[in-house]
Amino acid sequence: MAVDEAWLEALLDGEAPSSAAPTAAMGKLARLQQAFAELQWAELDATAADAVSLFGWGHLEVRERIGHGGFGEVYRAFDPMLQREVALKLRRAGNQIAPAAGRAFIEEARRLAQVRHPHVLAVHGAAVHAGRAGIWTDLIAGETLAARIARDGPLSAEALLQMLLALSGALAAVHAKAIVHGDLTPNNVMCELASERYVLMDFGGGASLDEHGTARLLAGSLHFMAPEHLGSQRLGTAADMYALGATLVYAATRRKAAGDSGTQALSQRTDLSREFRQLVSRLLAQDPDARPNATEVRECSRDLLSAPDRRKRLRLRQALFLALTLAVIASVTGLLFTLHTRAQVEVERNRAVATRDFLLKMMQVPNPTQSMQSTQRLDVFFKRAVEALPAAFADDPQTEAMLLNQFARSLQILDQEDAALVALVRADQILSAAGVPITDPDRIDARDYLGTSYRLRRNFPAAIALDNEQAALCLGATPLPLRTCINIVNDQIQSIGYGGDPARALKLAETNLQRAHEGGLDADDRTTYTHFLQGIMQRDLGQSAVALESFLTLSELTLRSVPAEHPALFVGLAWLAWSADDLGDVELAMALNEYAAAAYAKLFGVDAHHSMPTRVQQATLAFQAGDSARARAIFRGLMKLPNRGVFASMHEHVAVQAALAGDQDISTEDLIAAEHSRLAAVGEDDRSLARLRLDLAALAIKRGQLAESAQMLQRLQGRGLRDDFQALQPMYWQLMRDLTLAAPEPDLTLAADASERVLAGLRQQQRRMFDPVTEQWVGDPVPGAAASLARIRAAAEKVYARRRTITQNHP
Amino acid sequence: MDETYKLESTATLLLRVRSGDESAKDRLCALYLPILRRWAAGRMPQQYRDLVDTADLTQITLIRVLDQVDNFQPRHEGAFLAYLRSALVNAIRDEIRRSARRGGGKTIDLDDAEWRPLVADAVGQETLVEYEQALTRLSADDREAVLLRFEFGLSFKEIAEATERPTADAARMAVKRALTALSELL
Repeated sequence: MAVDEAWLEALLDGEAPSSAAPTAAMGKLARLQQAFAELQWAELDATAADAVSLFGWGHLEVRERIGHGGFGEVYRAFDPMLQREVALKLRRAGNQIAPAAGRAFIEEARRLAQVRHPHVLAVHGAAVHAGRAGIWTDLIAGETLAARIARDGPLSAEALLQMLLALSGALAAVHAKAIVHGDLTPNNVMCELASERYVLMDFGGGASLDEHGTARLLAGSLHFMAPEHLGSQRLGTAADMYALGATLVYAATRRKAAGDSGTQALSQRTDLSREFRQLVSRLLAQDPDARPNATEVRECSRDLLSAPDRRKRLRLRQALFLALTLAVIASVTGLLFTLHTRAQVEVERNRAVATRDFLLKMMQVPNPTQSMQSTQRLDVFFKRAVEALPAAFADDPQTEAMLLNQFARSLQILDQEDAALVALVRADQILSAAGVPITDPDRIDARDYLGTSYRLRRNFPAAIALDNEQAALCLGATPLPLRTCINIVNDQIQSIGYGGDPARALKLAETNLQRAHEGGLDADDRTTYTHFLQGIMQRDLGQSAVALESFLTLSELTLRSVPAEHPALFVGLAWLAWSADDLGDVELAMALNEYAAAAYAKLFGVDAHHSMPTRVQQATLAFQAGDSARARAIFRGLMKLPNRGVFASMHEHVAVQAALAGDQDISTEDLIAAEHSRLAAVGEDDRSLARLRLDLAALAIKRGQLAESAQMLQRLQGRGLRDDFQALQPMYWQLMRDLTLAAPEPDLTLAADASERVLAGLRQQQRRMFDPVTEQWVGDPVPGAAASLARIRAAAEKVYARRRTITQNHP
Repeated sequence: MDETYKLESTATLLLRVRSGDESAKDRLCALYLPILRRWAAGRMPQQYRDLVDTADLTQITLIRVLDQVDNFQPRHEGAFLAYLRSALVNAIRDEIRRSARRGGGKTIDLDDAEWRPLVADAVGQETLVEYEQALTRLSADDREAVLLRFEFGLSFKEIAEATERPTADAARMAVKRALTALSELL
């Protein structure tokens, strides 16, 4: 093709217009150059605007004023030490503070900096520079609750509960550090845009911070102030609880109404449950002592959130959402495929349209979701849809299989495990009959879900058989990509490990990591998951110290691969919490669990089976920390979940834990009966059965039912407590000791021998253990525990520090 | 680009990274992150921009590349930039795929150009696909020249430095050759 030299020179200088191009190809070049150049300029402008620094304050580069008020100004600033932007709140320049007041300000801010909670604005530091006291914190991209309500009107019932859960948790964390917020109002609650997270901020208004703060507080926050605040009494934590009540009234009604008038205003919201209104009314009590504390409110809000009808509606919506996004995704898929050929585009479009039409048709037959009141109707919808699929997609089996997979996931959300499994098996059969090769990514995906479904039902033999078939693909003539193979082995590790052979699973994990390393996939998310499984298996085998190393590596890798602010960042803290617990630091374990539990709830929903282990951990830790009431409350909430599908395997565990924490309504006999049916379902080799028997033995001793306890321990002594379950051995011997000592004439030699075995076991496993019978910690302090705990803290700190933020409209 | 960083060539810094010098890694990040961020910011499809932070993705990608730096033998800075671009393209595609899966979709097979709808708005999807495909058929030298000039917006003097050519004019000649070759493939 001839090239026009002069025109090309003009193009090189960026001056060639596409309209006057000598050839079509040159025209395209010119358009491309122009488009890229425009992008460059747009980004350069944005970067330049970002980089402007107004002035320096201490080590911070102050970049932009983003808010101001009576207290002073708030700036967007860059912290080179944290390598990210922060919000810097500076006291008004003219307001030179007295040294004593300055010290108090700094001291208070430093105490605040110790509060680390997902719903409390993270304070990074406070100092005085150039005569101006300042405090720097996370920068939140969002708006205040007040601004949101002013724009969108009152919050929905569910959003109110979510906010209540967040803010009561935040206040519990703040009050635990003996700090009173002192100025909780809709102006001091941020709603983060990206995550819909509520964040409590602006402690600067607290009366203890400065003399001017009190004046501003009187002027600006009258409706949110507790009655005792108006007098001269010193503020207690109950004042914050009152302010929380008044904030809830405002969020529910857009009215600033406190006390009885607040309760009245709330009564007009008939969609709010009676329990919720009563709770707010208690918060607004005149007498500070009559108000519930933050921990109580948090537990209440959890219970309210998991109330059955609410849960059903929530699940219904999630399932509907899935079904509908499916239609959207199908049509987006069409757009994404506009790449190969026109024919393919047509195929994809037709597929998307057919899928959408099918869904719409199903939605209208005979309108099963009309009133959206019960999950039952949605079950019917999915069942009908599954039945109608073959006729609708007779000539397009791949789309039929894809829809079946989607429906299976929706059915899982509805706890319809059996129906989900049927759909998954059928999807696989359809793909197979259609001649879709077993190495096709769609098929591998479908079989991945199928394996997960088997595992969730604890049908490990079926899962293992499936995994083996998949693993064989990695050895074929044209092996699958390494990432896929690593994923398949991860499935194998789970099936084998959870199925009762952690030692073999651990070996597989190690081989998998080696392969990933050789293939350059060390930091891949699949490999990250292998580290997680490795840690779990090590811990099961009583290798606490090495398990900690795996969890620390996991934490590092998560930091690298998960985007900032994504809730998944915090998930790994649950495993670090286990390690902290093994080392005997319950307080640290509880703090880590708090983040992890919140992350799980956000990712999967508070009642989803994925969220269960952290909630169980939460309750267990509360029990260990001596807060049996809280433990029982959480366990009771968990017991309300349907006892079927994936929940069934956790149900007895939760019940027996609740009984151990003192729930007298649960009978030992019922639990022993549950143990029998579990044995019938999973066989002797199941680790969860061994664990259940230990817990049952503990419960029986605690309740003085020595014969039952001895019976349980005897069963374990046979096949049930194999060497593979080493982590359980110390508990077994501890219970032998407890049982011996509980006898009318205890054999002290036997008890001493058992004690010795407990200590030796724990020493070998480098951990401590909580005995639920005596409610005491057992085991020597672990050598090097302080250093290990420091490493856990440092890893957690890194995760917290990763919480990154953008803009903030203070105050 | 910051002059102090320019004193050490990319190749030297990469060698140092390979021998375990963490500070060299920091300096490479300081050198390349702004360029890559600028490049990546406009490339994420609109519907995914809320899900993934481009700045984070860029940083993660760069760190991953530096962690596996043994896989790459840079001839010069321009080649490294082209290599980073392809790593970033892959990372963006992976991220889109992941987001699509999180959203409940099936695996989406993304082809070239889909990940750049902002550019596609201006030039049309088909042209963009053609451009991406033509790029893969160019020689490594020509591809670098096009990328550095078009996509990274470097001046001819900067291109000369990045591709170890003696003068800006030599770089200009190289870009001209590359554009001619590109136009023949479009």
